Amino acid sequence: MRTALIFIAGVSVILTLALAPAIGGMFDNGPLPPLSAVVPADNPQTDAKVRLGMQLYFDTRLSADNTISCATCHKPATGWANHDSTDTGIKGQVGGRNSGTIVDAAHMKFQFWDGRAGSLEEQALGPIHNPIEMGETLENVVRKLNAIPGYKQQFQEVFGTDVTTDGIAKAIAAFERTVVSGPSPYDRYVMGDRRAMSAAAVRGMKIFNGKGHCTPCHSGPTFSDQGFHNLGVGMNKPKPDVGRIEVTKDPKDWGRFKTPGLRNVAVTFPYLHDGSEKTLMDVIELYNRGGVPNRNLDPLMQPLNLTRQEKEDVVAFLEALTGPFPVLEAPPLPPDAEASGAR
Amino acid sequence: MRSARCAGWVLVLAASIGLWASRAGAIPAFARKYGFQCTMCHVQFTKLNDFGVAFRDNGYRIMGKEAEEKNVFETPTPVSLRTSAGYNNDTFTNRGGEAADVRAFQLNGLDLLSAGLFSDRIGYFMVYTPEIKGSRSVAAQDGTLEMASVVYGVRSAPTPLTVRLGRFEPAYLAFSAKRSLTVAPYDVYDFAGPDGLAMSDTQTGVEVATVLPCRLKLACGWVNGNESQPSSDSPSGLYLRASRTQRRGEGQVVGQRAGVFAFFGRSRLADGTGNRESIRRLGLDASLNFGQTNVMAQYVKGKDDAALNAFDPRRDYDFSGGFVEVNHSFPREMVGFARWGWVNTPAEQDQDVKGWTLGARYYPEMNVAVHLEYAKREVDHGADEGTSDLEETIWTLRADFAF
Repeated sequence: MRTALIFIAGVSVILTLALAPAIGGMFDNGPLPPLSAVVPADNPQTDAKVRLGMQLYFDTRLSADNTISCATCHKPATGWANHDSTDTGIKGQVGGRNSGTIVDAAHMKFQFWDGRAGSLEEQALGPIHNPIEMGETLENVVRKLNAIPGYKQQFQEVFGTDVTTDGIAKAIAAFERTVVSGPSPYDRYVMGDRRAMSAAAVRGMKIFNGKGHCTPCHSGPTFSDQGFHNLGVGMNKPKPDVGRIEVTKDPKDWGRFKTPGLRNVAVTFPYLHDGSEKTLMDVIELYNRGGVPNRNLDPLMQPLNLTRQEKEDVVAFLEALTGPFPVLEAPPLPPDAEASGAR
Repeated sequence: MRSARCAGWVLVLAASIGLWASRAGAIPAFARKYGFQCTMCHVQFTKLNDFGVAFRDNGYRIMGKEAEEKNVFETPTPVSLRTSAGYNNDTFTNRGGEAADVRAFQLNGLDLLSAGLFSDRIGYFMVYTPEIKGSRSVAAQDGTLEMASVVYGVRSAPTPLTVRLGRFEPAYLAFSAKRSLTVAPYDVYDFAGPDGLAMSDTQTGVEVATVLPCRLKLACGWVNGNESQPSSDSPSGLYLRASRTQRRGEGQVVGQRAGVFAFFGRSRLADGTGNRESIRRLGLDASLNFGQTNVMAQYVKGKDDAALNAFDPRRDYDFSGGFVEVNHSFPREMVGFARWGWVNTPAEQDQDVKGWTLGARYYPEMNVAVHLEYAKREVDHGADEGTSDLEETIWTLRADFAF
């Protein structure tokens, strides 16, 4: 009896230690922080700036042949992404990478698959002067927009200057920061609503954070470690897209691409940097195989041996990461000078 | 009346721990540190999966995430506990007074574990088993620091190189005796001949291990003994192990692994002279995976110098043994297992061991297993006239939990 009592006392001490209020694991997934946490000090949000940014986002006149806007590849109706594997820019040119979603991009540390932009402001100008995407020079865009009275006036109101590249970047970035998702069934579940997710999604959540080995990379509020990894996608091609190394020149980054966030992932198909996987199940199959072997394959890529049911459960969980996000129509755009009668 | 009260305590404790563990989603030290489910590293606890093996090989650091690791002072209390409680029926026939039957509800031991990182390159792993004096309701347990090792990560994944110092489970054990799914032990690992080396014992020493890009895993170590035969100052020795996995994975859940090991040591004679004589063990092992089925096989051959052979000092002491285990993961958190094992002793001893076990574990929560097992073990006493074979039958139904 004495032994049993000592045992019980010992167990109680250990339980007290072990079940102390959670400090939080290194890879916990919490809710998105408030927008104020990701607005840079040199580009505060204002309604006028967001309205201006929205117009620029939908305006094809930012491209060389006036056919492509940001919204062409990042359509609100398709999850602010594009359902094509890779995008088609001016003159029918086809790019090599899939469009990432704008939803919650405000919470990402790096922009573009290779992370070459460290902010939305930096990102906003990239596609404009990319020869395959919008193919326009920044000087020409500034000249064109300055010739549109409606823009010139709004830039004066918002920035106190004529149209500048800096102003274009800041306005588009400010607009993009408003494209954020609301609480998903997953968020409601972790807040205590045990009916917010299906039984399959709950099982999938455990697999995601266990046997599926997803969490080491897909963690944090956006379900991204904000890092870069080599899954081997496309690495077996004769001339593969080598990703992050082109930015850093660090051999360790060969074949690495940004970990995308997973919020609303169910609506942003196809997947991976080249859009090579059409469905979530296809992506899970890729992970289940342990990626594509190559000389710099991420050591976290291990075959998983998931059953069919387990894969379906993970898909159900990923679908439960879909929260409401704004689906906006293109706003009325300032007319050209000729149309407005201005000189 | 007294034992009924003890059994009542045991059941209340088991139920409340299970409830706590379930409600809290409580998880052991590493899982709590990272916020992972147990199944990140375990197929079903306690058996490691491929990720868990790679994590251990990488010095208890997430592969590729070494720079983001936190040390024990920055993470939740790195303490966890494992025990099990349930009904044990352990009976012997023809025992000749060697052991007593058990038919009772019991708590089965207690492991206190602590693990983590002291710095970005130095990890540790510790298991302490407090001494528990056996009673009808609590199984006896020797108090010992079962494992306490510090691991220095010289190089990181995918080709880690680690130096482990302290008391640990040596790499010559292809299948961890501490992480077995079964209650019945691996007989060949537990078998201690006259030299006193039981492979399943943890050893104190140093081990260097690495993984080469060609998926060849190498380990070598220098250890100085265990407690199987303290009276003869347990054996010390050097060992080497090499294993290679075909296809991806570590051979735990995916991939096909084959390995070899060799242990060369010296064991002190029990004659009080202080002289030591040579002992050696050679082994082959394989771990094959077919879908959700894992087949594990181990063969061990041992040879001790004749001077150590208490049964016939004119001849070297030769023995061999092994086991084949099959386990299969069923849907809905269930694993079934079956194992056949044997040890063939020299003719002059003639105490061959044969055993098999069959059972299943069901996981209502990832850190709680309901364990049902039936095992039989037979020790041949054929050469000893007038003594019948010893037969042990175990069946147990218990809740096994870690938190």
